[in-house]
Amino acid sequence: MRTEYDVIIIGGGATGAGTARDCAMRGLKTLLVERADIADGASGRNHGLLHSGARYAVNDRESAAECIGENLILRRIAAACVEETEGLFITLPEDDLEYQAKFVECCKAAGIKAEAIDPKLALKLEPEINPEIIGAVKVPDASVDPFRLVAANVLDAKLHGADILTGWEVVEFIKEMVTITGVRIRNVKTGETKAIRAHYTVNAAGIWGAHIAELAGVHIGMLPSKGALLVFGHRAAKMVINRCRKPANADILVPGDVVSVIGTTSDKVPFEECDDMKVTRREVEILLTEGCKLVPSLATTRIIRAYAGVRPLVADDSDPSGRNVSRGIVLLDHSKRDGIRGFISITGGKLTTYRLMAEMTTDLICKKLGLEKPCETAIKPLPGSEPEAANLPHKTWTVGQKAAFNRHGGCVTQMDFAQNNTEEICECEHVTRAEIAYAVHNLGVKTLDDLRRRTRVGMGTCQSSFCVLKAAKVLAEELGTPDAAQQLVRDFLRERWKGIKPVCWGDQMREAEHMRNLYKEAAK
Amino acid sequence: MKYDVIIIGGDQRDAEFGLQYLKAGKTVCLIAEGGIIGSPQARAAYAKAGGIILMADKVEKVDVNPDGTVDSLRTANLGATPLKADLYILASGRFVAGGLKSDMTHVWEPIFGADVQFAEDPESWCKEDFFAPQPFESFGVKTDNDGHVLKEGKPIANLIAMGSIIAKQ
Repeated sequence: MRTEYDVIIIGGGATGAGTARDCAMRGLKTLLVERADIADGASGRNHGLLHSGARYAVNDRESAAECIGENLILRRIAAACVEETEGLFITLPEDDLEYQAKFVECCKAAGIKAEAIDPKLALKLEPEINPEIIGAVKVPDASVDPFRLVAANVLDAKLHGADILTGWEVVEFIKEMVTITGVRIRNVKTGETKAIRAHYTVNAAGIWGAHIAELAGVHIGMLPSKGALLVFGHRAAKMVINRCRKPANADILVPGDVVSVIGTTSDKVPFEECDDMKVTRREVEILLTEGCKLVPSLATTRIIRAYAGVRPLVADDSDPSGRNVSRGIVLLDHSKRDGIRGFISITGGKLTTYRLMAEMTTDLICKKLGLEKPCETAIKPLPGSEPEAANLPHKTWTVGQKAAFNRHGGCVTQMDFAQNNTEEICECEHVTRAEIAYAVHNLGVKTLDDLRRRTRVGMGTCQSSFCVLKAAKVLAEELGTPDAAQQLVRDFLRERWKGIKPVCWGDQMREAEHMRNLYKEAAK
Repeated sequence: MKYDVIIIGGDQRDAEFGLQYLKAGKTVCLIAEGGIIGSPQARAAYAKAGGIILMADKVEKVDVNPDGTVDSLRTANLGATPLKADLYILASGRFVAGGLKSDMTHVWEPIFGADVQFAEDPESWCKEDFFAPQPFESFGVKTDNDGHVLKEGKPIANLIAMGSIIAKQ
């Protein structure tokens, strides 16, 4: 690893990973620093919704237009991460049907193909929705796997020469007069520190960006907004289901892989809570009550997990009270804004617009460096999403191979599905030893939680009850530290428990007790 | 059908316990919804000693005498045919086995509607740490000092609770 770069990017979420990819593709010497793991913050704690932009069409046309533009790009360049489910905006008897006409009109103005359809037809397309609906609009929403998306960006950044450091946090900025010339980073495990220099440092740390900015000596007014979500044990619907009304709590259901996710809530939280978001029973109740109005069968579907992410809302610079929130993407050139050179912040925005945010950031860096290299991230597919992947011989594959293909697209050809590698380690998600080995050696996995973000191990209905021992053994072997297996198990069960605790009743209470019966002695 | 003892449960310990009654010359029927879990030997010994197992069957209705004692049970497979006993033993386990049911705010015992001890505030049902003893593991039916199951505060004279379904202090 070098100690001097063109660009250092702080934050391994979608925006940071996308920026690292874009910078590396334009030939910049790039380093990405992430204190935990990639997609560990809000990038891994959201709906997994590839917005069509329809949700924003009425109130924020600019965001809506950005979303539909990126939606169409990501379907192409991130095909392996996107499931083209399409979406519905349904109007319930308690909602104002007049909103629908305005909604469709605004969608069209933003360039979103929105089509009002007969409620009867909507029920045919998606029989699980509330049969009481009085209106329905079809929109090009889709489901996107945020973990896969971030991992693919990181992988491609690496393939283009970027260095990726996870488990390192920025503790200090190196300044010369008014110019930031690098950062001091610390290994969160060992405490080792390093100084790394770069022409430009990009703050892409989401809500934690407020703290990073303070370290750099500038202030960004950020308002942490907690969004809680529930995971249901199977696909309660095959399309994305939205409520056709002014955006409110729990009005989107997204099917993804073998589960469905309903969300979200929106509550201001203090910065101190951002590192350890807990979902309360009250939030679960709101999500469940509202969710059942969209899809009634949710009332009898097992909730396997609850989680929450923090939106990095940015206070409008023009409003000293900090109450007005900037909508959409916020790119701050701190040399212009604060007189601090060599430092850029990119925040706000949405998962759907991460690529555009990365492009805007990289454009700014290139402009400053006097580099004329066009952005190619909207044209070149991410690893695994190459169009040729569709021609692979799926029909002859095992279940595990097919599942790996669904997750990693064309990269499945790099996995070694030799005889003793086809054993399924996680049966809910059909994760094989071959896929785990690939993830460890190519996608920077250190813990079972990292492995979960790369392969979905332990994310299915059993929440790792049946796979944690096998997965820990295989991971420890692949990492070359067989003695670490027990600790991997303990850490992972503790992590899984956080999401099970808020939804521990009914059938999930049975699952929880079963998990305890199996592993409660494992702490000793 | 009349037995001396009816046990509702499917753990191998229930079969072993039933075997002790059989050895004492009693007739025993075991209603095991999920079959006998655990040692096949325990099951075989119980069956060999003349114990009856109603496999994959479950109690659907309880007939109660005016004094609150259990008169008879009806099961899913036997339909209208009542099962009677001098002593009924409730050993249907906690949550995994289905002896206790729960929703967002309540925990109940589904067969007899027995009194159940559980924390009022659902936020306190689980601890933050997975490895800490979990409060929900102490939930269960209330009993008197002799093990009789309580319903509306009163013991049911011919129904005793056994195993993990009993509330822990």
